Amino acid sequence: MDSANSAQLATFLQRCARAFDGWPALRESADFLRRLALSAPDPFRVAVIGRMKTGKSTLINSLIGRPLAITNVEEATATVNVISYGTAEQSRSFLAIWKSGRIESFPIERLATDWTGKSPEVLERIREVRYLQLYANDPRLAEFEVIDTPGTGSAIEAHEQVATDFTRPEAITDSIDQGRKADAIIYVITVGRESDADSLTVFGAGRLSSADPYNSVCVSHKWDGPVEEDPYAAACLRAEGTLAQLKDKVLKVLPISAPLGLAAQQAPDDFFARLLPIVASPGLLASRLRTDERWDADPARRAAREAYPLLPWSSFQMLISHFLRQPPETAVQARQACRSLSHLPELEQLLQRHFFANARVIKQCQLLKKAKDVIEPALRSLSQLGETEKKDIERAERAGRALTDPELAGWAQRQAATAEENVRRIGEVTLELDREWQVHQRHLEGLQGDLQILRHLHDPESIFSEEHHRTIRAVCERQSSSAATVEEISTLSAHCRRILRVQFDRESTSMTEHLVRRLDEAHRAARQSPTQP
Amino acid sequence: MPHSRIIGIDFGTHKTLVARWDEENRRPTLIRLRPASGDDMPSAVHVDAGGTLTFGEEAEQLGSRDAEGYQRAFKRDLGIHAAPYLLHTHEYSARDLSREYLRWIKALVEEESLHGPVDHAVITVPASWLPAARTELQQAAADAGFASVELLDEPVAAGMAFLKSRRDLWSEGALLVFDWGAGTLDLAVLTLADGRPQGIPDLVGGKPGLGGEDIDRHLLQSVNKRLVQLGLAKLERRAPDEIEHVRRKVTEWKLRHAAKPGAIWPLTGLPDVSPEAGLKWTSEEIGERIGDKIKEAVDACAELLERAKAKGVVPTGALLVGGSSQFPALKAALEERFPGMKLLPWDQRISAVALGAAWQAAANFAPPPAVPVVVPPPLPAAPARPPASLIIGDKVIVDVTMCHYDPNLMAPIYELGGHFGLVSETGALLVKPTWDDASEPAEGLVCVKVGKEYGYADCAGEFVVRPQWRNANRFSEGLAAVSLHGDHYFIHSTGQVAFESPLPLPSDFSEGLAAGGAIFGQKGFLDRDGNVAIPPQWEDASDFSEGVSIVTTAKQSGLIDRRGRAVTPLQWIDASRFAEGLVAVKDRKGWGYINREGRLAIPTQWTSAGLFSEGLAAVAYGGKTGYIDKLGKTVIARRWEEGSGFSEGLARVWQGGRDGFIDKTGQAIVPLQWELSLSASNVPWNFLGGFASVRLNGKTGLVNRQAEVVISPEWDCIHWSTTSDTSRHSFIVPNREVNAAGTAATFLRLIRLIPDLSGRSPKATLSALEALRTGRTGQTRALVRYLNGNLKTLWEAELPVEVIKKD
Repeated sequence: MDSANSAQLATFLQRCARAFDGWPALRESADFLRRLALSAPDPFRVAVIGRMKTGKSTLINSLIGRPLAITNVEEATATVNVISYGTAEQSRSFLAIWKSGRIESFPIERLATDWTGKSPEVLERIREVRYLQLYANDPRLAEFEVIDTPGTGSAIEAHEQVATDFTRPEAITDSIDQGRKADAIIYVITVGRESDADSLTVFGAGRLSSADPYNSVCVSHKWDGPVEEDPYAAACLRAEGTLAQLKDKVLKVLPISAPLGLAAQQAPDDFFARLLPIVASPGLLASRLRTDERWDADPARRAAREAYPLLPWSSFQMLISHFLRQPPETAVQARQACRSLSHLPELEQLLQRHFFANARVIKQCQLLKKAKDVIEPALRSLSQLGETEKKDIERAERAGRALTDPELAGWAQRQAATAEENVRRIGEVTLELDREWQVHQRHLEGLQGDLQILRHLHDPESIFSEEHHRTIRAVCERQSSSAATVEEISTLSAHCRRILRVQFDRESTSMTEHLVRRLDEAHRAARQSPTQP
Repeated sequence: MPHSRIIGIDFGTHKTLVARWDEENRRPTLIRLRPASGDDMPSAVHVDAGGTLTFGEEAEQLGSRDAEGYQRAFKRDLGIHAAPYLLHTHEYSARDLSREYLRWIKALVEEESLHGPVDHAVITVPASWLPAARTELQQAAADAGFASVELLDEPVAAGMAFLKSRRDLWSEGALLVFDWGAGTLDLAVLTLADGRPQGIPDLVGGKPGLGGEDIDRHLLQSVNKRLVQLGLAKLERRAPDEIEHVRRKVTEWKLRHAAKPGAIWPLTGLPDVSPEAGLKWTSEEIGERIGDKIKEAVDACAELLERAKAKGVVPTGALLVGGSSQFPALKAALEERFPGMKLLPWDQRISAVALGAAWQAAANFAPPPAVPVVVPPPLPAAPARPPASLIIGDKVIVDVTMCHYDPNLMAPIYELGGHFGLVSETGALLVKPTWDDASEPAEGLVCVKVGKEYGYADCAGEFVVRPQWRNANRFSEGLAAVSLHGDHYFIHSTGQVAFESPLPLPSDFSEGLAAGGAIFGQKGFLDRDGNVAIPPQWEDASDFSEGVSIVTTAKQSGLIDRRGRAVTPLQWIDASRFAEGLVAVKDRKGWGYINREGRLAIPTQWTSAGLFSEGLAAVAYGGKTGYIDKLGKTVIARRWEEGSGFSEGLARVWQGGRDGFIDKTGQAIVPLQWELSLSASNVPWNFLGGFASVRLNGKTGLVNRQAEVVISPEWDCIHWSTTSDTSRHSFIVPNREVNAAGTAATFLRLIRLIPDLSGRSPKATLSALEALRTGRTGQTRALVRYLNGNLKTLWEAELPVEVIKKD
């Protein structure tokens, strides 16, 4: 149903574009809608954005389960990298999509040689490329694309860093552009390294207008710094504060350690096996953990760390201190502990439940939202044009009355007729397009509202009592098998109207209003088909 | 005559206000809809189980006991094709309820205030509303019994009320309307068009759901939190009376807390709450809760202003409208966040929309003016000169001294007594000659000068862009270059600024690129997004045509592509411009022609080479001019001193100070008997629409293709053109009656005054002028473009004007 709807929406956008073609002033709108319609069948896109060096690429790697995005401690991702599902064969090469429109294929090894570093050749390439298309033969990518972006940040910051660091001011715009184009957004921030207020500018300032709780999540990263009593608890506390700031923009703020998540998937068994005896006899281990030099002083400890050298020291510290508190017994246990310590499963679950399970609805919503910014002003412009034309009719009619020469009067009449025809055409076109536009919007708002209510039913503090859950499910899931009776609907509808009178929370109010609407629809449907019980 | 009963209705999502037009005082006044308690009426409906409808305040009261029959905010659901509301067992659509509510309001005001039926009503709607909702409301109003009704955008209504009461505060610039009502925050940007407020279609913003009631809810939540802390029942679980009581309390705090800093507001009147329970709030606590909502509103404002800025619209003032916009903290927050925007003072915050609607209703329902707008062209009382005739088609038009005739449009421009207006195809006067200057129409718009400012009018004479620019070019590809205070911008045909030109003195867009660069500085190109597409690097660069532009460096000319790369190495000493696929170029051997690929199509050999037109080009060698075709073959043997290109099958040639016209066989169709007429500002070189100008004794007339004189040569100047190829006239700007010699002299004067030019040798200047006169070489196009683009500016700057006047 939803994919059919997506196709319908695309058809509608094409129709709008064709209609707008008739007016030169709307040419750009028409072009935009056409491009948008063409993008409708594109796969679901998740953009990972955030400031420089927040670990966006590491996060992507940990989600995919293996290093893929260009990650390097020294070099930040400088290009936009789109990562899609591909066959094993495909994944051995990558494409550079140049700004000139040319597309070129390279073996994957060239990624490290041609696209990293600060040599003039690399810089030139990065300037000339629009994005890199990478492939990963990972079933997790079958249904969506991941976009790794260069860091965003304030322009001033980028400017300051230009001398010392490898950063392009365009990288910021590139990232924000990608965020706008994406269907869902993972916004990565690092805790402690930057002021919260600063790091949230991009979201807060509304520059990423596509960000919404239903399609955005914030990941706070790199909290696994100095060993505290419980860094995760501290990070959670900070995450709550961040969420308050990002209210209306993201669904949740999750502290994650992507390096640990990656280690749990990538580190050899040997790594965990070597750690077991070390943490089994703690002794003065905690003090050895203060610096990597002290740790490496002992050959066994050093060998263990070198079994998986990719794990940053700070993450390693946290892993060991966790093991000291709860020593694992087997390597398998250790790996599992590492995974749960990364808290990556929570993010995966959240992405699965909120993004991927609803990918089609989200994608349509995004499509609609982008279309809205163009269609509505265009319809308003057209209506204004109609108003101008109406004045023309009036003027021409007055001229017709004033002119005595029959030929001139005839000319004025023709003018009036032309203007009238224009007004009529504009009226017809705008009304017809707007009506259909409202139907699309309505449909999607309905789907979103349904999702919100069905989610809300899981909430222990639900404003609806248990007895109503079945009816709510029946009208929101709209499956004929579990249709509610007219009486049930009427009762709940009356109940909701009562709730509306005493509800003091905007979110519950809008949710209840949506439910009332659904109930009214169901009531009408149930009455029109009296065969149902 | 009995006064018309005219009203304006502010039909809000939550509240309705009505103003009536007071004919005696010629201004609107608010109708007190609730005689006992206030002007506003809740936009609410109640249906009881038996199907009886109740409205307004009464519905509100019934609704607090019987929620199942209560519905409000139905206006919001107009046009969205929603299922009907289920009120008890009755179904009503949003349109049904709007119709019934409006019918009730109409009856109420007719009975209480108008004492007779409404003649005309204006109902306001949110600026964000699209046609479907508007149509549905219009229909609902018609069904409700309004005989004559029109819709008006709420911010426009507010702007109109403001303009009527405080005209002194708003004479120009854009205004932000910040309308914060009970249900929503609506934001819009207004500009003035012909002295009336007008919205900008894409600058509409705000936040649905963020209104006074949301603030109440926010405060009520705070009450709830405290009740729970004290172990008492939440509001949701209390009796309707108690809830109503707390609501009223909270509203009181909201309205009064700011006036009493440090005050304490106890919640009394709940039976289970003792005064000692400490259920109280300080003014500051209340202010803080409200502050949360104010911040949301200001954020929404920032979002709209950012969008406006991207369009080049920066509101200088803000108009606060609506009941929720009265918080002093809001003013402070807005002033702090947007220091450049002045909050305009006025006292009609609540009533503005209704009053504005009534103003509009009165303006539109006035009887039609007795004096028609169109007046016949005034004939000069005692013509200093005998009237001349201009024949267009088969019509003979008298008294048109100067005319741009545009066959694609119904409205050519004509000049009378130094001013410009519009005449119809048939010569009827459509717009009186009041403009100081007017260009030929391009893309449906005429660039018009009024006083010292330029704007754009459509071909009915209506201003689409009011005169506000210091200089303005015609529209091309949807954009026009304009300038103000020395800054150059591109504007859309709506008048909105598309972007500031990154390059000075930009030319018109052609194929998506426009050339620009400092006077005789380096020229580059900008794209339609306002970015520099090709950095400045050439002394001159022509408009793009079929993907190439002709550029000139200090030494060489040649072709570049859209990315700024030379098609072939720049190797020519001089180049003209493209015509019919070929461009004349010069090397040491003389002039020849190259094609778009930069390859030589006709070898260089001529001492001069004109533009190709109608397949032929004038070329000269040994002091004689003839015509060649595109293969370089001589078609008309060289025998004249000079010759122009062909137009409408004829070319002007001259010999021994006399000129005439030949056809493509070389036969003289118009005998060479006229005075040599140079290509000056208003004199076309060639046949245009069947006419060509000729001169005798220094005066200009027109001949037709049969060599008949249709306007006798007794005019200083006759000017007309077609849009088919306006470029051939584009190089001389001043629309003054100057003869060719005078124009050349003007140029010379100017050139001496322009520092960039004065550095050139007199010889170079003269050769440039000579080239200008013959319109032939590309090297001097810089001069031509410069004069074209800047003469107006210099003229306006009054720098050369003095010199010219002294002349």
